[in-house]
Amino acid sequence: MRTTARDQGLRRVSSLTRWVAAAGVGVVGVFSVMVAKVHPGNGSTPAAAAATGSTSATSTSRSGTTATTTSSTTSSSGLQTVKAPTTTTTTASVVSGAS
Amino acid sequence: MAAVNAKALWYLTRGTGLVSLVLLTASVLLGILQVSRWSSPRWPRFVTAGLHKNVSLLVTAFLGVHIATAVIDGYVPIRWMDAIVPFTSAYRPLWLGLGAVAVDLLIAIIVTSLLRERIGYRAWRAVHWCTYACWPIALSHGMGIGTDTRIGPVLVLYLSCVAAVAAAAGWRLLAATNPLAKVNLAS
Repeated sequence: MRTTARDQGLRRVSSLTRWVAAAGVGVVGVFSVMVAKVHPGNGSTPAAAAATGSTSATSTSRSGTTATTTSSTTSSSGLQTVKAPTTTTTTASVVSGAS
Repeated sequence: MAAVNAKALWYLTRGTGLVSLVLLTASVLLGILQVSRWSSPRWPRFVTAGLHKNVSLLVTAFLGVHIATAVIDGYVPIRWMDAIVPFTSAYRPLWLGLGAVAVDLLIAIIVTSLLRERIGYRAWRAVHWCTYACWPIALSHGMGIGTDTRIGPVLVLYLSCVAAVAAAAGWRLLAATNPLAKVNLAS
């Protein structure tokens, strides 16, 4: 009787762990799609430029805007500040396949 | 194609970061439940203990993906070392450093938990108290460095985690100071 209860408890732990892991993976996908739609981005800017915040070339920012910038400031989020975007591209549609 | 992959890595970094925080919160809640000795006929204490252990290991798995994608992404200069050694990163050293501190604490907590029988209960317990520091540090890292913090649902998520841990810690403190509550919890 006691063994049965213990086995049931262990099965419950195993089952709940699997559910939590599956839910975690699912929620990662949901969060990824959500933030991609709300705050799309791009990873094409070189790391060094993002670190120093200085560039004089055309770059694509995390906020999904393509612009030519000559500033050397860093935004509050630490990412490249983009001045006067000349072209705005929405990248959310790309995300659904990525998550 | 490369741009799509870079974007996917970045979204994965953000997603796994948020899920790691949720799982860490769940682990803290289960730990508080365990130390409070709460149980019921359908939910014996060893179920709480087992789930606490497994959820903690899941945190490390999601955290591993979070760190790997952040480093591999390459948009910001984050090195592997920056994930372990605090406050050495070129990119937002304070907030990233807090994340590194949280990782170090989590590694210490998990390693000592796995070696609990070898190192003894007192040493394990002393290190395990770091959990109470690890969670708010991880939360600060997420809120400080996360570009999603101002997004409504993410903010709600952060506040829910804070409310859940505050309520559980309050309940635990109340139970620890109230002998009557202690008896109820133990039964």
